[in-house]
Amino acid sequence: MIGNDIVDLHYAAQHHDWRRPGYLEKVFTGEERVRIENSATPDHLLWTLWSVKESAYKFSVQQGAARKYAPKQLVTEYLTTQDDGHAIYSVSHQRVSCYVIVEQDASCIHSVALPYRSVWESVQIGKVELSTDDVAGQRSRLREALYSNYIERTSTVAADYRIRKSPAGVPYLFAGKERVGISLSFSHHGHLGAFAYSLGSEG
Amino acid sequence: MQEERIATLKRIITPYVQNKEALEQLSAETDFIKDLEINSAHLVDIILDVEDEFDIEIEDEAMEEMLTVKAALDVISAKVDA
Repeated sequence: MIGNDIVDLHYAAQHHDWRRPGYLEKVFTGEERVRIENSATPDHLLWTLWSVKESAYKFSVQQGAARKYAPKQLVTEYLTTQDDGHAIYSVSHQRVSCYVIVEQDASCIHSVALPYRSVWESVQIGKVELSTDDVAGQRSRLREALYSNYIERTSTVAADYRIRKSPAGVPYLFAGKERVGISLSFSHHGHLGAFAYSLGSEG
Repeated sequence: MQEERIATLKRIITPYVQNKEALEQLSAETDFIKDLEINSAHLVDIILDVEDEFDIEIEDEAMEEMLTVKAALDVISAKVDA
């Protein structure tokens, strides 16, 4: 299982007014709101916590959790920042918990939710700049980027790759009629798209 | 009444919809995220807009279910028609 979420910080600054009354209260726990309000960079922390929650939500849906819109139930806890600069969070959601690894730079925040921190070693990530507002075009470019990455990573021959989604929206990679044994997650926001997948059978 | 509410809801969600073709075929079964491809960070805006438009307060338990047009209409009916 895997979940990922990307936040296009430039797009977020232009299109999301989180300062409107009631917004924070609908999304964040009291403790998270205190952290945001006391932060020297509240926008950055807010989108980090949002992205951590969203990736953890996608992870929990892959684990079989029902689809719900309950961001406050995904409780984030900051653990540490690794030597490589990635921040590590844990998220608890009902009785399930996961680890979230966060990469960030000036333009985006990208979170990957995993069952164990050690899975990170086998995770492949790709980010794609999507210039068009045509969602179908964005989706196909992101999928093509995944297929290329997978072919290069696994040294397999190019096959008739396609993505199929479960009724809950979980994506699976197929080569022809055969399901490929990876855990996979897509995200897009604004002009950025991302995928993350882990090889192996834990998915 | 229901058609009027669907029209109001459609007006509220339109600015956030990425899949405009799915918006043309809006029905009770339409899913905000899967069909309309609304970014989940914008669902909060929709919920706040619905609260303002209908002068209601949507608690967390009701918000959880608001992933489809039908679920949103049910929440509005439960509050407004109570």
